[in-house]
Amino acid sequence: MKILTCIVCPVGCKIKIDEDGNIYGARCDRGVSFVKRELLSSERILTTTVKVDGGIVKVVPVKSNKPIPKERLREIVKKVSSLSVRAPIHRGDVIYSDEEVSLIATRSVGEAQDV
Amino acid sequence: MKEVKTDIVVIGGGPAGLASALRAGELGANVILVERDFELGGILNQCIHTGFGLSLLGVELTGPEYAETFIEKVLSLNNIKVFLSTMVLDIKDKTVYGVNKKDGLVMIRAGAIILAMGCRERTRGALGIPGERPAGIYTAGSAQRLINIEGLMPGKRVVVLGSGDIGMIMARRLLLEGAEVLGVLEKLPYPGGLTRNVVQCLEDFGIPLYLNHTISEIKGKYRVEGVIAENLLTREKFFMDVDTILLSVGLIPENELSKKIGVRLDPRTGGPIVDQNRETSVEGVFACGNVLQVHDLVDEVTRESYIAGEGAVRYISGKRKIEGVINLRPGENVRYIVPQRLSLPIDSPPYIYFRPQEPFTNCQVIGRSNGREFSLGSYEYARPGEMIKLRLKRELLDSNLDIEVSLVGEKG
Repeated sequence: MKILTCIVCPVGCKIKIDEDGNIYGARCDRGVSFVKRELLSSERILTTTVKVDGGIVKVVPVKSNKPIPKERLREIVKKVSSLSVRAPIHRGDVIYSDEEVSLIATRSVGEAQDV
Repeated sequence: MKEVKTDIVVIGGGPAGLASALRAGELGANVILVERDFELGGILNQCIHTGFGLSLLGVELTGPEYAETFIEKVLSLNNIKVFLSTMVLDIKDKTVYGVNKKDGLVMIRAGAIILAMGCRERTRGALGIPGERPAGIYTAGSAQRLINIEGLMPGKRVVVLGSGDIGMIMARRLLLEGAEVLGVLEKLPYPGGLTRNVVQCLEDFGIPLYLNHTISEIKGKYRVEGVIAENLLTREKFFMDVDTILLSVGLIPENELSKKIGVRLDPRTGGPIVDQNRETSVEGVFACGNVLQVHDLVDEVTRESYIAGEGAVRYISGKRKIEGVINLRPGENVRYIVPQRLSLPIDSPPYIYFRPQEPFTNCQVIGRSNGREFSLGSYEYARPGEMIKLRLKRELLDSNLDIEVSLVGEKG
């Protein structure tokens, strides 16, 4: 018997998987598919920030376009730490892209006005 | 001085202020939304992680995305005016006094007020940890703002005191940004935040969670040079070599303005005492979001703020009348209940929010009134860190007498 805490939503169902692969305790179907995915490979949506030049804030928050294997998260954050983008930025803009992942802006950043 | 009149003034432009202004505006009221920061969104703007909107919108968003969704809706309505960079200093009757760079003093006369100021973090001062006062001690939320908005790293080797959600989320965030996170210390035998955050923020990255532990001393004169961690059960102590301490030790509803106008507060929540429409003890003054009770989920903040927005519109239209009151009292194992009272008449049984005193398994929620007892719901798990929301039963309201809500089950 293995017990996993579902992280799909904040309810946090404790889901039990027995030796025959039966799944109990998920309050919705998303929990069942979470357990199946989690047992094969642990993947997470990555959120981090990227530097902004000339914006009303110094960094823009981004998220990965798809779930990333857990063990790759640190490496990807390191890879984009030297990156910087110019304001204005619109929510949904692709900020970075390579063969592994695309990073999407999760807020708009207006241009800084000279004071 | 600038002088304006409106139907409803909303204080605070975070998720609660946005949603209550939006609902009041959709119902046709003229609304002024006052925000002290230079932009709307509140703390959502620095919560760049995902997990927002699943229950209300059916999609998983980050904090800034959730905020922008509501900001766009608010700005699309002509009857909602937004005052940015405006700090509210005082309220007298239904007049709100604020100040900003452009207009100087601003005086807003309104028919109703919605309080949506949110909450603030408890600091080191509230804990009384001995030691010098070196640099390197931050609340988790201020570290979050430094990293996610200002683009600054607060330190290199970090310990987090308190296992609230922001503390665990910041442990992960700091680790991803290259810091070493030596652990999260929690004085209670169970984590303070959501279970999913223990899994995806700590366990995913091998960050140790020390339950029944606290910091008994901070080393360092000019910069933090380490802490003494102490096991509260065995009294064993050990040194942690850190240069930065993050405090995630609770949130306090920000009610300085509420107190000025005589709004009665509930000592259990730290927020105003309200009825099912989120009207406070002062007629025509409503409260919603974290100023009222510290929520776990922004989706519930939004839902609660819709209720306050509707209540305020009903009040200014003269349709709200109160013919009697039922008090809701927390019974055994219940820390608090919101709303604290129900105004009669009631059309349909309202939802209540509450938290258990401590963790329970296989438990039942029981409502008692007039010597009768009803089961309101049963739960496999109940945790203080996870708010419970359920609907009252019609039968409980029949006698118009006070209602007590209790939780019974196995501890642990």
